[in-house]
Amino acid sequence: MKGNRLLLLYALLLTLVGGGLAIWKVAARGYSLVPGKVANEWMVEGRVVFQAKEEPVKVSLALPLHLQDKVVASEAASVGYGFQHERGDDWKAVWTARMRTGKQRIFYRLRVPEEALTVHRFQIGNEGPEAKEPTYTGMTKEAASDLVARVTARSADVSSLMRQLALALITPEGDPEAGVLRRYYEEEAGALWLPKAVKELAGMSGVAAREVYAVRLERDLISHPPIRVVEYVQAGEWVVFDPARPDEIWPEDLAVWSRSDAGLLVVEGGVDSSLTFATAPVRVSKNRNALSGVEPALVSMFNALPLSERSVFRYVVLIPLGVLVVVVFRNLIGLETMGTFMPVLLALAFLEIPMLQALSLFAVVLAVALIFRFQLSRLHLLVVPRVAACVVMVALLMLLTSVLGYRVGFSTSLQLTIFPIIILAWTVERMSLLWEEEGATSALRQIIGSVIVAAAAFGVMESRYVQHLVFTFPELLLVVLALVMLLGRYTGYRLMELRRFREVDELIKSKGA
Amino acid sequence: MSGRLFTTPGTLRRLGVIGLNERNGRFILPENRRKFYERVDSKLATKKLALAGEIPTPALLAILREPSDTRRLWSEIDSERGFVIKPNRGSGGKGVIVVTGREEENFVKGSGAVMPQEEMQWQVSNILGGLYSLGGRRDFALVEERVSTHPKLAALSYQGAPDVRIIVYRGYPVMAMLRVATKKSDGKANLHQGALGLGVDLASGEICHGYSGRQAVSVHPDTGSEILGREVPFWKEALPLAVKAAALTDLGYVGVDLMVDEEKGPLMIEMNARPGLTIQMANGAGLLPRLETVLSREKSVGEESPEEKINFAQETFVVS
Repeated sequence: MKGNRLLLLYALLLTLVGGGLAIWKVAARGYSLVPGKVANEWMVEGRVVFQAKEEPVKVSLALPLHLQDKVVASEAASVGYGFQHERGDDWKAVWTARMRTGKQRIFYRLRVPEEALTVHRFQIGNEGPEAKEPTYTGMTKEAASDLVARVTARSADVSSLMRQLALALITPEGDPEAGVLRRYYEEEAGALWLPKAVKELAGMSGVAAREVYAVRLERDLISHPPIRVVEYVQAGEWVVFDPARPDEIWPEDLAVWSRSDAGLLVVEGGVDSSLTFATAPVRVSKNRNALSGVEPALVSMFNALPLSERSVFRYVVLIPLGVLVVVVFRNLIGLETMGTFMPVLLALAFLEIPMLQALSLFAVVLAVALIFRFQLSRLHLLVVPRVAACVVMVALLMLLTSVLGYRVGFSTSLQLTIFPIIILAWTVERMSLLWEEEGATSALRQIIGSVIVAAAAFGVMESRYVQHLVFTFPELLLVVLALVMLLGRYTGYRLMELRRFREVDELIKSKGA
Repeated sequence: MSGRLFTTPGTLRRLGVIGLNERNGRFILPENRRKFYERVDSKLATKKLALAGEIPTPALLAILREPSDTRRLWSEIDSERGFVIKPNRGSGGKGVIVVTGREEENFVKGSGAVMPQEEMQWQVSNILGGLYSLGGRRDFALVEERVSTHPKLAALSYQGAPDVRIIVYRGYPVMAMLRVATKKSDGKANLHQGALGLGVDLASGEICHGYSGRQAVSVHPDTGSEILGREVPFWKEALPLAVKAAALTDLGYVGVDLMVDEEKGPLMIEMNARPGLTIQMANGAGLLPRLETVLSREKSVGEESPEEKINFAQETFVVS
């Protein structure tokens, strides 16, 4: 059949281009097929955003002085600015322009070996560190001295003292002094109260301490603002410590960025400035090239994008895999699902919320929504308002569960972003319609089918190996396309049909009799 | 009952059973062009075709487009004979309301239940709101005259009215089955809910095989009477009617649903561009050999007249 030959031709072409490019990347450029166990290097990208006021602009970003000589590669990205590094006592990236208007975006990227990045003990420089006595008055002063005395009695050395201080402040229940101090500092410094409190109380106990900016090292490509941590002196060195996580000596995912007193970011000629960081581990390949612009964009598509823009594409690139799973389950296995895209959306939601919790949330919301629907049906409402009422109820339920979950302690792992909520509400709407239209059995069959397929798609999409393959070799998606097209011609039996027709040879025999 | 969990593709192949992938890929996709689907998806479109093509079909009594039109059911339509309300774009019997008469200020449904006018209004507005239509599109309701089922067929069915489905492929009738409601299926002719699927021999109109709930049946589960061997009345008119109706749609693979009225004979009720696979279970025979036979017949003799096609089918597609 002519159609068949054309299909085979397309499929072959797609496979050759996709697979060929991937193979070339591995053979000629040394890209790895396997995700490296440990990232030896990290790419840290700072993003400065502000509104320019039609004036001369000067942006100074403090850079990690201790990394100045360890940087493998660096890049300053901006359009229309002059750039230079300022070295000396401080290390800064400085951008200048005569006049700018509107929203401005500036990037600075560093590539640094991991060991250098996560250092948390530093030589004491010229500044002779002194423990500074904070200036408290009245009740606060009393509370502080009480707390300090208590904590000193409980600790054996400087680092345990710091730890006890942080612990006391974080959980002030049953400790009225800590409560007083916490309130005092929250008024002084708002959300950044903890590092400041720890620093000053340390000073009161005779420990020299200061605040320092750090960057969180994550793999999720989401931009975060820098966080404040504390540096204190112990045994002749500066030791960095995160008071929010006192039980960890040094959380492995933090990198000290800057202790510049002049400020992390100074923007002249602009307002509403903000600084965020995005990070990504870098697998070192045979050909160590610079961050971007050296490889042709086609070959390393991702590297050409700023880090903070990559996170969207993470999902986009996984979707074809999810769809392939759906096709396999529907056409080869024969499971019914509610729509082709629905299981993929569910799988994407699972990538954000852990699957077990997502499913239980889902089941609870669905069950309550259906009960609600039965009540509604007694009211004889028209179709569209009925469905709308269900959706409103889903939103309320979600609100309730997230509040309850927080109380119960679920909160650390259950982060409900808007995306899964929308998917859930939509699923409930379709499900309740389906329930009415086709009856309970059919609706349940389809929903269970959708969940099974979504779980399978999720399994594929969250695998580190698969993610590495698809992010490093996005051209493999052409091969996925070829597969999906070939499956479109599969006219064999579905697995579920082998089950549905399982009595068939008896049926046909029985006639003869 | 073998109690096995799965059968093998080999067995199904040997018996000529066709699966969904093959039905869709080899038959529906090439034979049924998307633009003609409207003719069978909209019952009104089907009716208009039938009237133009002089095909007997139940009379259309009214079209309800607004919830307020529901009043006409009471004022305009003679409920003595009863009527049937159907969503224009519904499928599989969903949303169908059968009214057999009136009692005081209420309607009486086919099951005997009483339905107040308010509830009728609500049901109709459900239809209008697109509950039963594909994609939730707004729809309208058709009111048809009720078919008075031939007593021979009524005797087989528990409430409800049996219908005959005939699959017509490229103008050749290839297989037929009678769908009959039982107590278990609650008066609905839904095979997945316990109704009986009875294979009908194309030549004689005799019931040659019975199927329900994954088993062969030869005796009606509710009445206990023998089913095999009974004839479908007016069978001689049924096949030509089906073939003629199918031709009007320009769809090459189509399922034609008929009901047999005791006086008027077979009436075309609706048609389906994606007829299901259970007809094979009802007949105890696979569709594939018959479909392929049609293809090779066409190759050897070219295009025949409808009568010749029917004759060929009746001679060749014998359930042995």
